[in-house]
Amino acid sequence: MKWTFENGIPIYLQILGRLRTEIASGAYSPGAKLPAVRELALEAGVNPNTMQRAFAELERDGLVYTQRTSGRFVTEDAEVLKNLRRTLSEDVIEEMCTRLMRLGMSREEILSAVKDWAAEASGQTKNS
Amino acid sequence: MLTKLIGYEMKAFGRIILPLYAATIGMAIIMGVGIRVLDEDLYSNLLGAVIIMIFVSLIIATMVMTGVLCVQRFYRNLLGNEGYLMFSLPVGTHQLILAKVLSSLIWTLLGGVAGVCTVVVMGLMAIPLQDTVRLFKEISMHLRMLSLGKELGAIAVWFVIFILFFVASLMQIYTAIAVGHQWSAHRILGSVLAFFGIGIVRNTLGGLVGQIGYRIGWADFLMARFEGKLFLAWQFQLVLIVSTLILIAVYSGVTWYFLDRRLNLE
Amino acid sequence: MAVLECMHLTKRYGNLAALDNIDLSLEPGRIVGLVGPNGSGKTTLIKLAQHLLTPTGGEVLIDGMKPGPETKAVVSYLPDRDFLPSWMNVESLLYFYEDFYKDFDMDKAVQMLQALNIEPRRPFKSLSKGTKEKVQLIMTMSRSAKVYLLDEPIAGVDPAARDYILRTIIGNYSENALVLISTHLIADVEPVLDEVVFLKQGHIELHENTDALRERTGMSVDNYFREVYRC
Repeated sequence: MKWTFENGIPIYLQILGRLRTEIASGAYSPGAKLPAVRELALEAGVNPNTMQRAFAELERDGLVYTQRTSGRFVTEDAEVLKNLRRTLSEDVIEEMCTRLMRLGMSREEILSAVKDWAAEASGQTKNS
Repeated sequence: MLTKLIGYEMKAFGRIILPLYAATIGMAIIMGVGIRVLDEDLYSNLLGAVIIMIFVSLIIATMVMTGVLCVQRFYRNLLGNEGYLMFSLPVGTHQLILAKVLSSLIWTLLGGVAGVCTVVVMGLMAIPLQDTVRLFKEISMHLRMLSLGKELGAIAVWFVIFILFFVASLMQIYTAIAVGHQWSAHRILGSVLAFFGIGIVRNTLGGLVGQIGYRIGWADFLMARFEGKLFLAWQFQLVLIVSTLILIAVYSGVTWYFLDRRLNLE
Repeated sequence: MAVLECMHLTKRYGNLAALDNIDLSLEPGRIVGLVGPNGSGKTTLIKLAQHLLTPTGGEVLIDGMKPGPETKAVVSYLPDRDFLPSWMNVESLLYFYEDFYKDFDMDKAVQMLQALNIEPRRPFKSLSKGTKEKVQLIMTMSRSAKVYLLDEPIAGVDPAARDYILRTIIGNYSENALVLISTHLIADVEPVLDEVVFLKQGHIELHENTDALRERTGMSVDNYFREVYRC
C-alpha cells in the first residue's frame, strides 16, 4: 500500500499510527519480523531517522522488541496486543461519537444506530 | 594523485591529437610513395600538389591544436563547468596547475617526436632500402665530423632552456587567465588585457635589471664570453635559466593565489 | 560535534550580499533541506563549503577543517549543473571516480547503473537530461562520504525521476553523514528531511526540525513557507 502523509502532523506520528494499526490488525502478525528501518523508510519515501523514531516509540510501548542480532519482532504478548486494539478502537469510537453528536444524535440514538448497523452488516455477510 | 591527473590529461589531449598524428603519418606514407611512383606529367603534379597541401595543413592543424589544447584544457577544464568536478577532487590547487603544465609540455615534446617520425617514415617510403642505409651512414658521419660530442652537454642545457621558455610562456597565459577570471563580467577580455599587462610589467622589470646589469658591467662580461662560442657560453645560459626560473616561480605563485585563494567559479 | 559549520559567513558580489553574516551548525546523521526562493543564497552556501567560491568574510568549516583537499576527500558534491566532461562516457567516469575518491564504491555504482539499464559506453552528450542527472546522482551517492552536498538534485526532472532520486539518496547515504539538499521544491523533499534551513535574501529565516515545525504550526513545511514567506 502506498504511503501518503497529511499536512500538519509530524510524519513520525503518522508512521507510528499506521504501524500500530498494522500490528493490531495482524498485518504484522505476533512474532513476525519487521522490515529493517532503512528498507521501510525507502518504501515509505521518508527519512530513516523518522522511521527509526517511530520504531523506537513502538518499542517503548512494548509492541515490538529487538533481538540484538536478528532484528525487530512484533510482540507475542496477547495482553499487550489486546490493549493496543482497545486503545486504537477507543480512539476510533471517540472520534466517531464526537462527530455523530455534532450531527445532533444522542448517546442512545448512536448506540441503537450502531446495533442496527452491526445486524445489517452481519446479515449481509451471511447472505454473501 | 598528480600522475592520475596527468593520465587524465593525456586522454583528454590524446583523443584529439592522436588521430591528427595518425593522419599526418598516413599522409607522410602517401607522400613518400608518391615521390617514388608519381611521374612528371601534369596530372601527377596536380595530385602531388594536393597531397602536399593536405600534408602541410595536417601539420599546421596538429601544431595549432596542440597549442589550443594547452590553453583550453586550463581555461575550460578548470574554470568552466568542468571546474566543478576538478576543484571538487581531493587534490591541491598546485597539483591541478602542475598537471596542466606537465601534460602540455609532454604533448609539445611528443609533437616534436611525431614530427621526426613523420620525416623518417616519409624517407623510408620515398627511398629504396639500400639508399636509406647509405643515407643514415652519411648523416651519422656528418654528425661525427661536426664532433658534437663535446657540445652534447651544452646542447642538453639548451634543451632545458627551451623547456623552461615553453613553461614560462604557458604560465604567462595561465596567469593571465587566472587574473582575467577575477573580472567576472568580461573574462576573456580580462585575460587578454592581463596577458599584455603581464608582458609590459615583465619587460619593464627585465629592462630595469638589464640596465643595472649594464651599469655594473655584467653585460660586457657576458658579451665577452658569448663571442663566437654559442654553445659554450655557460654564464649566458645560467643567466637565462635563472631568470626564466624566477619568471616561472612568480607566474606559478600568482596563478596559484588566484585559483586557490580567490577562486570564484561562475 | 557539528560537521558543517558557518561562522559569520558572508559572500558579496559587488554591493549585493548573496550571503550576509550566516551562522549555521549542522550535525552528522541528518538530512537537512536548504530551502528558499531562487537567488536566496542556497547555491552560494554550498559552493562556499566546497571552496569553489571564496568568502568575503567569515568562514565555513567541514569536519573542523577549512575547505581544501582534506575536506573534499570526505565531501560528496552534486553541483546544480552539468559538470561532467562531455567527451567522457559513463564507464570512464566510473574509473575517474574510483581513481580519485577512496570512498567510492564501484560495485554499488555499477549496480545502480545496471538497474537503470544505462549503457556504460554511451557518451554523456547522447544521454537525456533526466538520465544525466541520475548518473550524476549515482556517482555522488556511491561515495561513503561524511557530508553530501546536493544542489538542486530534483530540479527539472519528471515526478518519477524525482521519486527515484529521493529514494536513491535515502537508500545510499552513509548513516553518520550529513546530507544537505538544496531545493526550491519543498513539498517533494519534505518527508525525507530531519531539519530545514530556510534562506531568504542571504539570511537564515528559520532553522528547525521538520516534525517539530509541523507540530508547532499545524501545517506542512511547504504550506508554512508558502503562507509565511509567500514562496
